[in-house]
Amino acid sequence: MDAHMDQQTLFNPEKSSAVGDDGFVSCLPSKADKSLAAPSPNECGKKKRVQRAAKLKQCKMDARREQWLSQVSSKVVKPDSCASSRSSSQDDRDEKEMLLQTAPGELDMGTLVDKEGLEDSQLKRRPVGSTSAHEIGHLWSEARFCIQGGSLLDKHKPLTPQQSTACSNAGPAKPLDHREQERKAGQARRLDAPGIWSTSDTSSSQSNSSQVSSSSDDENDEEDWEAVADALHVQATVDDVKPVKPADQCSSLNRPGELKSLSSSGMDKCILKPESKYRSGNCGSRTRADAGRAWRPDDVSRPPTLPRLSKQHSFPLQSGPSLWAASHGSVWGLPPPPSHCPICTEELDTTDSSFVPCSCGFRLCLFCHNRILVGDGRCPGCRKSYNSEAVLKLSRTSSVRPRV
Amino acid sequence: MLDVSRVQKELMEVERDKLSGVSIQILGSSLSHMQGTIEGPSGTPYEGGVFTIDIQLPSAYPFEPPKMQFITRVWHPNISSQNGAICLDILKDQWSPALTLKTALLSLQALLSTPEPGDPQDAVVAEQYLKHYSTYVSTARYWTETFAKRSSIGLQEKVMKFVEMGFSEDAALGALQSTGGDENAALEKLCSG
Repeated sequence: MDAHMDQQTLFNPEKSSAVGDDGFVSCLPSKADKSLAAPSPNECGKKKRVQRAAKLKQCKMDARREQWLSQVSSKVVKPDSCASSRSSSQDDRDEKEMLLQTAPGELDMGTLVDKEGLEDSQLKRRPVGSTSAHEIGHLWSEARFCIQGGSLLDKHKPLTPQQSTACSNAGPAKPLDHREQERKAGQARRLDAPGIWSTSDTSSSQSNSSQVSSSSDDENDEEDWEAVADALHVQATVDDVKPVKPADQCSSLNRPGELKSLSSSGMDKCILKPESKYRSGNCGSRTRADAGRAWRPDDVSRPPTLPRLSKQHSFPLQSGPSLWAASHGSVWGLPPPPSHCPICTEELDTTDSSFVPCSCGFRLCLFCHNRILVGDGRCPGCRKSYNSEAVLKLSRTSSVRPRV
Repeated sequence: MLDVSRVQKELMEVERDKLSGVSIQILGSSLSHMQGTIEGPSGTPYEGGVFTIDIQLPSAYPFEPPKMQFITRVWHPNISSQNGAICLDILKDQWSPALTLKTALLSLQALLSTPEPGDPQDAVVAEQYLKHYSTYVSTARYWTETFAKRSSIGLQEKVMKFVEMGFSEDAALGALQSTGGDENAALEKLCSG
């Protein structure tokens, strides 16, 4: 599960970017473009994980947004595609955070990670560090150390020199104020590790962490993240928060080398999900300008393989004509339309199904309705005259039109 | 133009539901004429009887009601004791295309159990129902026993045969009943009587 989450964070730039819009600018170094001059994939992975945690904390700073997220998550329907993220509860989130924290150089070890989580984390790192076996081993051992040590030694102990060294390898030091902000976010347990943050990775970690937080917060599925991300983007705009530079996130997200290493380094062995795969494959194609927000349905640069569902499908109430009809019917207190006309027993087409000529809810095909109008013009269901329902019928018809 | 597909589906539906006590048989090659049967509702004077109804479907069916008439003689305020004509609103102005032959026959079944003497088809029966209810009950039961029992199916034809021979209907019926439906014995009795 943790592995899934981690991969998700790695390969789900859209979501993370959308979340990232929300007021993390202050934390972002201006040098984010450096990430384009990508360090080795291995390093990227480290930094990403390290900074993911930091960004995660930042995400939580915005209580309001989080609240909104949770609300969204409660509404969101879970599809099968993202079992791991969906199943994630608050506990899961903690585990994810821990995973992030266990990245080399990460000092935050406050949260506990069970052995399972450890295993997952190891699995996750395998692809990232595939370029260097030595690096991988180092990372794993380090991560394990962080996790276990963190769980035992806990909360406020600084990292060992080794860890800090590894961290420092990742990139330039990160300003302390960033940490302070994180603390404000309510992550008191976590310790700050000065000097381990690289500017180039900050953006990525932020986006990733935000992504993690969003996914964990709302427990949504892969198909819902888009809508959530967009909504978050809107929320962020409303909050009048300075948006993150698109280039920052994009740079970290779209490193070709990293993607290549990820995809080519035996990801199949890992519990990589299909979504993660296509995400990883599509990250590179994304333009910088779009990095700050999720893919839009009308996004030109949106990878064709990415969207399986339109945004409308993301929310329960907007799941296609049939569902809409059902909900529409329920709104009016009407049962769902029958499959056949009760008068002529012919099958009802979509137009007939949306045709509710009488307030009693009796549905029939247009032919039979017309035939009745030629005669006495009374509803077969309630025997009331259709004429008295003319106004209602018109309004319904017009309201139904957009659905088709 | 008769909606053949709908009528066929209605017939299939009736055929499928054996527990309703309703059945329909097609008469001839056309779907416009058929014969329905209903069982007399229990707890009424019509219990145990099987009533045959002639059904004529107009070409505008189901937008016009089917024409229904009791073939079996029934003693009921809303059913003519002379020709079996039925006074039921859903077969007239309250017909709805949403109704079917089956629901119409079930409505007739319900009509048997809940007469409406205030809106009579047969004034004599209605008056008896209102003023001499016990007499109405016994008469209706007698008619049921006489005309609607499966064992008595065909009795009416025999009676009519005797009537054509010149005997009165009552005498012919009495003779047939006394002889257990034996036509020859009844004729003998009528001739000797």
